[in-house]
Amino acid sequence: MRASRFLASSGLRFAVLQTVLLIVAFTVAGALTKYSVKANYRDEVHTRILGEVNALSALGRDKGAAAMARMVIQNERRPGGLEYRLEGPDGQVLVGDLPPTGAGPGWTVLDWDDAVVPGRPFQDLEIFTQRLPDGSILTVGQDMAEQSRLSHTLKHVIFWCGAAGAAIGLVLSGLMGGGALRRVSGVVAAARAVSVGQMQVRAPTRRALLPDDIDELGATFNKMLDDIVTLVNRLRWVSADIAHDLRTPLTHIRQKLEGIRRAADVDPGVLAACQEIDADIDELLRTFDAMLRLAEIENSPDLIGRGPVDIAEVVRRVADAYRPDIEASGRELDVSLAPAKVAADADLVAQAVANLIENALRHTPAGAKIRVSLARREHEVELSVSDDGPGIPADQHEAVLQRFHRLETSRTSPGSGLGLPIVAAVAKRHGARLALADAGPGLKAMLVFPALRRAESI
Amino acid sequence: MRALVVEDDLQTAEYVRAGLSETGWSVETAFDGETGLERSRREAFDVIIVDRMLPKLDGLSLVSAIRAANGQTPVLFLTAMGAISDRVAGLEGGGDDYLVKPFSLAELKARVAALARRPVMAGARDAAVLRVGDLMLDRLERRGRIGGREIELLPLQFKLLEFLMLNEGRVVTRAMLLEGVWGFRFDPRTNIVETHISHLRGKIDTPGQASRIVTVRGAGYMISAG
Repeated sequence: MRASRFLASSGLRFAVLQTVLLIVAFTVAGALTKYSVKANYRDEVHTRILGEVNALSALGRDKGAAAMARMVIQNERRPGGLEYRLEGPDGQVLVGDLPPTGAGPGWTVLDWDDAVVPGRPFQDLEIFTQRLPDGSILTVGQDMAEQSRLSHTLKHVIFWCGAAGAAIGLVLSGLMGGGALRRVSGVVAAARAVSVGQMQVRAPTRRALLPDDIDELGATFNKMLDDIVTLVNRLRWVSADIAHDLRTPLTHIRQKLEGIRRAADVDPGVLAACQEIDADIDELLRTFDAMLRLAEIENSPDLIGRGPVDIAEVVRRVADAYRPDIEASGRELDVSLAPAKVAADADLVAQAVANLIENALRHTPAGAKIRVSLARREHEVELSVSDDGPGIPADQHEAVLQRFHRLETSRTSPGSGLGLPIVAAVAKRHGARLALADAGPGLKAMLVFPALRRAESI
Repeated sequence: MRALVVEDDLQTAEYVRAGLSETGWSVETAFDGETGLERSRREAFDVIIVDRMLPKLDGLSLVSAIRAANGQTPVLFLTAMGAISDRVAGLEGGGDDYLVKPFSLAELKARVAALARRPVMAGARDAAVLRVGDLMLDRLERRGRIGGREIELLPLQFKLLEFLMLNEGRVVTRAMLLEGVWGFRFDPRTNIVETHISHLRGKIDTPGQASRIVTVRGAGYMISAG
């Protein structure tokens, strides 16, 4: 699958959007969690400190300052314990590691500098200071480094959970979206095939217990195609019936004419008239055949992807067939063919080339030069038939490809008026392009076929 | 030679019967598919001419039934169904030739004659050297000779002469040549066959003498020793 096509897929867009939303959600949830954990922890620390302060001050009140000091020393040794400072009324430190804070009574947050107490890298401290009744000052604090570690861990957990979630989400929606994308691509490919005439192609369907919207899309699309095929077939039967109904009376006319011709063996006038009528019937039939042929080509399946045909051989065969006729009529035929192969139906290409040559023959005066060439370019093979006759005005190039269109000047010359439309239909079936150009002077008709892919041309 | 014509259009059936009778054929007719199949089973024919659209049993099924029962009689479809796909279906379904209505009697006669002679000509089909009178064609070396004299033939002229000689003594129509020599399944609006024949005559004919390739008026061309 090409990158541009992948990016254009709604499945991928959906997956990316989903992932971005997931990341945003995790970030917000993480921030909220972190904030509330931090607040909770702080509350807990406050409760613990206040409890300690109350317990110590009660002990000091009941048993005296010395007992309180002993308790502080004891508590201070406990691992993970609180930090203390007890200053006597005279401002002298009695016990505790906390450096002087200078803070007044109540709560303070201290940014501790480890230069103050080497080896105790306090990061940030929550401290509570209380003046005791005897005038001494008790300060109890908790190092918040623990909380910072916790917060750090939490951040990691949230980040990795989020990342894992996003990755899993991306993979899952990629898989599901990819599956949906493939199924939608199947319908798109089928639609494309049908649009170039491969009426037998259907969108892939699956037997699903719970059909989703894509199943329904495929099924509806296929149903629509079945209806179209039925209609086309009905149309084909109708034209086959018309063909039969018109051919039968024409057969009878021709049979009766032959009877008359035999009976009138000696009368040259009647014989000549019979011949003229026969020629008219022929003309009628040719037009009729050309119409049916055109319809047949237009309704035939697409030929893109057909086995490679040596188009140079086909063109040479047709050109060789016409050469004596062209030269006998006083015109010149110049054929230059590069070796080339294209995916094609040889019969149809032969007919197209014959029509183009006949067209050139019909619309040029004696002495004209007709040039048939085949050129291979990187991505296409150009088959062209050009002449140096009067040409067709550029503004009428489009019109002559229409059925039964003939330039006023050629109204009197024979021809069904279906020659170029048949070439156009052949071109369409091959995924080729028919273009008319001014050959200055004259007309150049080009049939440009897509070149075979490398693998096919070997 | 006996031919069976299975055709529901009475006028056409009679026209074909009368036309073939002139060239020595004994022609039986059947007007629907079932009768046609019945007669083809009970009697021996050299050629069977079948319409595609028939009452009771269509032509394609009729021929399939004959082939399924191992019937080898050559079959020519004579039908108004003229699309390439119809023709392909006819030939793949067991037909040996396919002629679209309205047809010319000469074309029909030529094709029926070609079909009837097919088994006899099977040997010639693979022969390395073809001879008609003093005309000799070496198919391996792709050279032609008249008497002892070498004639120079372009590849297409060789193919054209080969086709005529393979059908020695029989009329070959323009349509048969277009299909057999050029592989064209369409009808060119120009005289390419006539022009090529005239060029070929220039190569193989002796000035002042009758052409070796006979034009059969309103039918086609023929090469024969006589």
